[in-house]
Amino acid sequence: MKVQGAKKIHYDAGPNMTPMVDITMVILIFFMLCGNFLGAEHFLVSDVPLQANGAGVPPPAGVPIPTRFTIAVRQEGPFYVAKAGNFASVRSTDPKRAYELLKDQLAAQLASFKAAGVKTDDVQIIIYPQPNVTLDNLIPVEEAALDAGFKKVGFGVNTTK
Amino acid sequence: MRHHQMPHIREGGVNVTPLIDVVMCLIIFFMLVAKIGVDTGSDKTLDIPASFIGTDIRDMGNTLTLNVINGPSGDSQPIVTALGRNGEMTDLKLHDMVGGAMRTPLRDLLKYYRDGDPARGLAPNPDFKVIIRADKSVTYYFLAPVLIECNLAHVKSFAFNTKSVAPS
Repeated sequence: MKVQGAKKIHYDAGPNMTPMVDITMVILIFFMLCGNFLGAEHFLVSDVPLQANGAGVPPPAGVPIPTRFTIAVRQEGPFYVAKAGNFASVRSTDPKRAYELLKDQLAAQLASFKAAGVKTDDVQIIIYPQPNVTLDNLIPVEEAALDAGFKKVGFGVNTTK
Repeated sequence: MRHHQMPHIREGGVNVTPLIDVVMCLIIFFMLVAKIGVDTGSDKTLDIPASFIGTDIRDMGNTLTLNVINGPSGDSQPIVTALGRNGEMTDLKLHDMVGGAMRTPLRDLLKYYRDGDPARGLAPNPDFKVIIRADKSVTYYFLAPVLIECNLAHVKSFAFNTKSVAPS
């Protein structure tokens, strides 16, 4: 009596993909580990030439003097103080809170500029921090100005000591 | 009469085609978004400040990254490092005296990238930007001199490098 054996399994299902999968997995893991991905960091761009007493480049002849105002930034112990003219003033222990308050005040000022017919793209904000202000406390001011809609935000420096 | 048979179902193992499809898509994704082997001179050890808003600078070829930390107490100069002309990280003084002559290494490097160097075949680059990658503890006392040097080198645009945080 003939005993029927197990059904033969076919192994001819195309090319052997195992080496390819190995290599692609290695490449994938390499990219995941070594990649420096976009989005984790970004940049706060300042296009305005610095206002420096005794240093810098004078504006070209014929260029109209733009509307500009300054934001003074200082630290008084735990308090973070930012003041722009008589329309924006913030005093807080939390830079994030200061950012939100300042943004609202500057946005209101921008709206009033627009209502007065000022070309708002040309309005410049110059941030004047005191020497003891750290960058961590400076960034919220620049952010607030940019976030409020001002296009030209720069930093003031004083070379006369 | 001859009967047509159904084709054999092959049991040659796991079907890896979907796996390869997905892996290939992932590899292409990583190749597009990852920046590998591009050294911008960024000091990754610096604890940079966070910001809610910000932009991406697409054209990093026109930029020079300055790593800035507070200088030693009693000194008016911050510690600034950047990729120098030889492509290696260089400590850049704002000013120092060598042989009785005042040198301004940082300003000279900025001018080199901004104005070009015909002797080395480097064309002027009016779109040259400076990226300031400063530790969040850097005070404006040390930051302002760097900004002044940028101004004196006629660099029109600079940007603070910040960590991206989502607004709550």
